[in-house]
Amino acid sequence: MKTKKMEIGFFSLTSCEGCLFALLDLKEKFFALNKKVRIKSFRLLEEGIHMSEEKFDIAFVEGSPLTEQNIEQLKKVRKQAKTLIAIGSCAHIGGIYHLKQYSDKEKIFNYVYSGNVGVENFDVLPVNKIVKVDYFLPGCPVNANEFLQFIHGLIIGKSPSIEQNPVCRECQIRGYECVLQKGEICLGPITQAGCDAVCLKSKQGCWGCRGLAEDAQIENLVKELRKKHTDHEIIKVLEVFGIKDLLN
Amino acid sequence: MDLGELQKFVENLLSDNIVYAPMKKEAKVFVSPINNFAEIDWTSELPANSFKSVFLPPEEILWKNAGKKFKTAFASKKTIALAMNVLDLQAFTLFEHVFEKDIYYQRRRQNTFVVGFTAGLPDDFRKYKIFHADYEENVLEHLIFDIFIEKQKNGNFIFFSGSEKGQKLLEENNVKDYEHIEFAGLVPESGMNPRLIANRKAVELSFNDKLWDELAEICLACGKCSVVCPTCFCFNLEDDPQLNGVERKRQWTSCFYPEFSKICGNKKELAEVKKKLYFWYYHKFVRIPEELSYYGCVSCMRCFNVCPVGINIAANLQRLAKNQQK
Ligand code: SF4
Ligand code: SF4
Ligand code: SF4
Ligand code: SF4
Ligand code: SF4
Repeated sequence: MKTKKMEIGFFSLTSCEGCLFALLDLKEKFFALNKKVRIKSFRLLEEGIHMSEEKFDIAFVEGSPLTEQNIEQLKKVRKQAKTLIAIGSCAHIGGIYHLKQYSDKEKIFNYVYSGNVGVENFDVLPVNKIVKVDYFLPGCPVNANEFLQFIHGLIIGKSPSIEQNPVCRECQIRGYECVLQKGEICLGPITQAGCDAVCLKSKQGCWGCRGLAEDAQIENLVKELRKKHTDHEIIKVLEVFGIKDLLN
Repeated sequence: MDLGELQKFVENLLSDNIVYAPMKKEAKVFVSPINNFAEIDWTSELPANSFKSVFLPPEEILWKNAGKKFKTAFASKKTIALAMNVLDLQAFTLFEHVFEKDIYYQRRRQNTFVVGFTAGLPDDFRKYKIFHADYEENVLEHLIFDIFIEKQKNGNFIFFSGSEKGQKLLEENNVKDYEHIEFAGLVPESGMNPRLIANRKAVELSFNDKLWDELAEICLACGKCSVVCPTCFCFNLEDDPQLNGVERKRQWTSCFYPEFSKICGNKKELAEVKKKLYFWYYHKFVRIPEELSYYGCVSCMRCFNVCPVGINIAANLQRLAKNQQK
């Protein structure tokens, strides 16, 4: 008996579309998925915004729901898809746009746009504040290999998960110099791993684009950082990817 | 054997093996793949990383299958772990026992030669400021290696073989002047090292010691300590679905990470940092000595060197021992 291929869609909300590009960078590996699934919608490979009445087994959503149109589309995709997976930092934790939430958003708006130019000034919310999300694939951009592992799992009916380790694991395995030990700010100890500690490869502290790791020792890290940094300096880093919002 | 002869011996090894050895990089020594003799550091300074990944890679594919085909993905390049200091040899000796029945480890080990080195004993022991053992004359008898090289005060090198494999490699490379040392088991005849027994006593009943509460106030549970530790051997097994078939992966993990003790319903035995810290010491200083009568920690201090909050294992043991006497 031939089983029906899974039907899959990729959707973009407001974003740089870097996550979908990261997936396309898989090249043959991405298109090899066609052997097992039917890719019915892929924002970067077609014109216009997808608004048909189709059904999907899995919908991958990148970007933040910023505009009325985004929100409408997101709700619609949720109705159409059995499984919805938020991919990338924007969909997962609000992404870089989220920075706006930490200041007076009217002031920021007026600084960027002069006068009434017909641009909406919405609050920045991650996808799961608007619809139910079944899985998250974190990262800025998403880790394409993690995506493959996920979708391969879903194809055979495995409920996928990503490993819950801090970035420090990957950093220490690779023997990168510890910038936290050097006295710089690094969120590696509290950030979900899976990026191969790529920022530390270039000696740049982790800003937490992949979100909080399970059991993250936030208080202890902040205590340590306070020895050398002002609260203002620490908060600035915690705000970049909205980690500040995840603390309570 | 003088330096020139040593160089010739090593160059022979380099010609048809992958060689890992200590190498100076920016004022520190790291175990790295080596291409020529001049890169090797012969001071017996402890490398910042250990030789662990030569024997147990941080991530490896154990087997894969596609359709009906089933393939065991054994790595089989001939490899030499060269100039391993005595502490890393002790950690390796522990691994040889822990992974005795692990075919993946053993296959790799079959293709790996272990060449120990000291710039002088017992001076090296003093240099390393070890806290887990006292120096014993017959230390080499209780270490596993294929070849061991000792640098003498006059600058010459003497050779020992520790296995048939090692003897063969020496003979093949025209080293005729060596002494064979037969492995005499993990525990010396005189019994377990008193230091090991004392450390065990200090940790065993210490869970209510204030030390653990204090450490739990600063530890980040980042697990850097166990990643770098030459005796930490915990790993995850995971089946990674592929487009066709499955790959089984093995990866280092640590008792500091959430998945380590997770059971169904997301319950974790080691949920609090205090428990994790205690579990680490308990494993090293109580459980391993209990199970193998051997060191679970070789006092290399790498855990301290990489710890972002400076948790010092030697100082902590001292404190536990002192509190216990009270
Ligand atoms: S640099 Fe950051 S991520 Fe790397 S080990 Fe140090 S704290 Fe962890
Ligand atoms: S190191 Fe941190 S900021 Fe950089 S990619 Fe990884 S999780 Fe993101
Ligand atoms: S390296 Fe230090 S802070 Fe990190 S888990 Fe180990 S003891 Fe805790
Ligand atoms: S001193 Fe630390 S790193 Fe070295 S063996 Fe002991 S526990 Fe491991
Ligand atoms: S239980 Fe912890 S301390 Fe023991 S070997 Fe595993 S990671 Fe290391």
